[in-house]
Amino acid sequence: MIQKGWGERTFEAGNILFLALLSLVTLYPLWHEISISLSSAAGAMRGGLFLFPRGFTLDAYKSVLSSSFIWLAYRNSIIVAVAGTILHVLFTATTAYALNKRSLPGVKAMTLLVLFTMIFSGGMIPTYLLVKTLGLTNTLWALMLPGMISAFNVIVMQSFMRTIPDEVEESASMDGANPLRIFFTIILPLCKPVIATIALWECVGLWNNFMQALIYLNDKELFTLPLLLKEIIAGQQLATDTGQFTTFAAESAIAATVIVSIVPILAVYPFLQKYFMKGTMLGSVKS
Amino acid sequence: MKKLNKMVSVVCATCLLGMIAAGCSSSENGGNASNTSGAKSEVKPITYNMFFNYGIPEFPDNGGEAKAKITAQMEKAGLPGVDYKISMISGDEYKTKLNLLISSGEIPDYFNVDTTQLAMYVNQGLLMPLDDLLAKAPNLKKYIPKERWEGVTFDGKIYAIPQGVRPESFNSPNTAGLLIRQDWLDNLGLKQPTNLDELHNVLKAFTKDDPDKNGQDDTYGLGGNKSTVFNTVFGAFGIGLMSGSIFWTEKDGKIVKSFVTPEAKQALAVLQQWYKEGLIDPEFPVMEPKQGDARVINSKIGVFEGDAFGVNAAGGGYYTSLLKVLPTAKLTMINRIAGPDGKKGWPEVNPYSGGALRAVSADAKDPERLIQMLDWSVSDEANGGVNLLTYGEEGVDYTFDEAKNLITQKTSYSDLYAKGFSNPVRFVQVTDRRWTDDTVRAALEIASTDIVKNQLWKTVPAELDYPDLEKKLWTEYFVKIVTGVWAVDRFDEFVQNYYKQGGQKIEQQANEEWKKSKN
Repeated sequence: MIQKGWGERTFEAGNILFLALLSLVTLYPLWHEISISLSSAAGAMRGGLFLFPRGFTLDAYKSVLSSSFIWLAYRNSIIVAVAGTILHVLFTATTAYALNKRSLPGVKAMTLLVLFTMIFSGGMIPTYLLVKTLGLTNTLWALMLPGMISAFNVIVMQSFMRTIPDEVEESASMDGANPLRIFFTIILPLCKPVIATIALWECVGLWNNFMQALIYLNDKELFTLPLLLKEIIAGQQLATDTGQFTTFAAESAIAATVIVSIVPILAVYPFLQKYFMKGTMLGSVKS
Repeated sequence: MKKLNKMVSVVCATCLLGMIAAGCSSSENGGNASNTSGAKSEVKPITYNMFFNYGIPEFPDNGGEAKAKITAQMEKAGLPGVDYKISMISGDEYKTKLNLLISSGEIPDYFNVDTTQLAMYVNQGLLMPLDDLLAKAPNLKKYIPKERWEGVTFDGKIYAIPQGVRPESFNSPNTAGLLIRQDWLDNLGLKQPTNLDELHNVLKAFTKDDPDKNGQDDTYGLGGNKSTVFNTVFGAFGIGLMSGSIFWTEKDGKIVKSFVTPEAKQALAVLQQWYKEGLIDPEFPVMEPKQGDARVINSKIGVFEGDAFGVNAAGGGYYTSLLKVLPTAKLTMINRIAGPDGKKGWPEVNPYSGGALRAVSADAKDPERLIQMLDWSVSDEANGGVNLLTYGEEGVDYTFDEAKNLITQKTSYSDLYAKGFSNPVRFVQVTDRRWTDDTVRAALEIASTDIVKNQLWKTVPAELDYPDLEKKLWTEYFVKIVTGVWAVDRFDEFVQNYYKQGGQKIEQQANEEWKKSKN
């Protein structure tokens, strides 16, 4: 008895220690970045491990936030993330709802077509040509429309909708609701957990979307945060490489931009996380 | 039947949507084109689309306030109605995007290429041969060295514009040398070393005699990082090596790779000796360049290889940071270190590599005026573009002291970019270091003397067949011998291995090329 309790306790202690270390290891880089962004030029360049800013200064933030492009990029990223997420959720839900209806003509063929996109994609250049001929290049639509419906999310949504008893819909139609009304006032509210999950996935994806932004956007007025971040980092490296006249440390400027660009997502995450936990388990067990 | 109808209508709707969207975008383009006109003269206005491999977030899309000044100056110089639109993306993403633009038929008029892209695009016929156009570009011919034109010539035709160099001696591409902590030398009452023995003594003193007077044994003589090859020591034996180990040395009427020569062995012996005595920072083979800089800033090392710009206290590099940490620090570049036979030197920078290359699309409209514009952009004559494009407005962004040939900048680079000047609009880059002060110029003077020439810059086919020889094989022996894991005599084994694993073929092909170039 005693031995078992002791073993259990060591296991527990080891577990806690291990997990604590793991979270420290993941937390430290972020913390380090915050410290660098608040350090003076000399402090940031001295390198090495440190916990607190060396020579506290807000210069890097001042210079990053005073650039007009960061606010433009912020605006663009928010537009893409919010509008893109809403479109994505809405159209994924309508697709899933329709494909769940056995009575829909051609439902099998359509499901097949949707699934087909999970396995095969056009590749970068054909997709680019398509987007270009649709006239979407150099607009923010290029980041939202091509990925508006994802086959994977449709399947997740479908399997959740299947858990809603048909009787609910039947009774609604008995009361005189048309299909649109049923979808918007009954089905969608019932799908909240899965909607939150998909919205979070999509929102994070759109916020971090670098490749599409790089390929489709040319005008600086349309740049999103990841793209601008990359340009700022490259610009700072260019300045250091050529040993030219700059006013603050490259390291701090890069760190400050990184922090500025991840704050919104960090702020949203905790509130959606409870749905996230619930949502990812959806459809895993069926009765 | 009903089903079919539905599908048809869906397809139609999609097409319609697409057409509407396409219509919108093309009308937008039309709007842009008409905006750019405005020149009063009878010449047709033209806008050149340019795409550069740069990360400069500050540069405004419309060219900023600089655009009007630049076009005005061009007009004065006899180039009316020329406009430019510059897009930039940096790094590998530049290539991705350029390839996309090319494959979708939106090739820019003027854009960056690297040497591999250049060869590829020339093969695909995407680039315009420039020989005839360049005949009317005296300034480009004047500032861009002959070797660099050779580097971009395919089948006797020039396909790209390399970077230029202004004639002053401080503009030499060779900028590297040995930097030393002068204040440490002063602390210990030592003189600047001139040969290997003196350098050895200095390194010993820097390591053991507490040069920073902090009472702790926390310094090393010689610093480095994982790309350091200790050119000083190899140079003292008369050979150049450089990262990537591409250097060829002439020996008995033929050329051999520098790293198989007996001189290389002697140099390795010296380095191993120093490492054993603890004079070299023991962590150098695993350090990133940035970590190496941190060692300098933290006053841990006294001698290291660096750039002449490293001695610029206001440059924003490690020296600036070092001075913030320790205001009494002093960094200088010392003369080349002589070896036992009085040999000294530093490997030359590839004279054929023209830095950032830029090419003109075969589809570019009115290429004559584009080349004229490029020629104007490097011109130093009255109404020429070089000062305006590089430094901004005289009196506002910079002042020029003609007697000293010194340009003092008043506007920081990020502000210049925001106005629309400097690197993005330097359509042809010409090395221009008139902004350097006397300290940096003195260091540049040192860095451009005693240069060890590479006998052959061409890469022979066999080198591509055996890519591991230079990077892997040599690096392994280099690091293991220097750090004393292996004895110096294992160098002979390296030479044998090198020749066995393909070096023979490389050397044979290289010598054929070399003989050809000699005749």
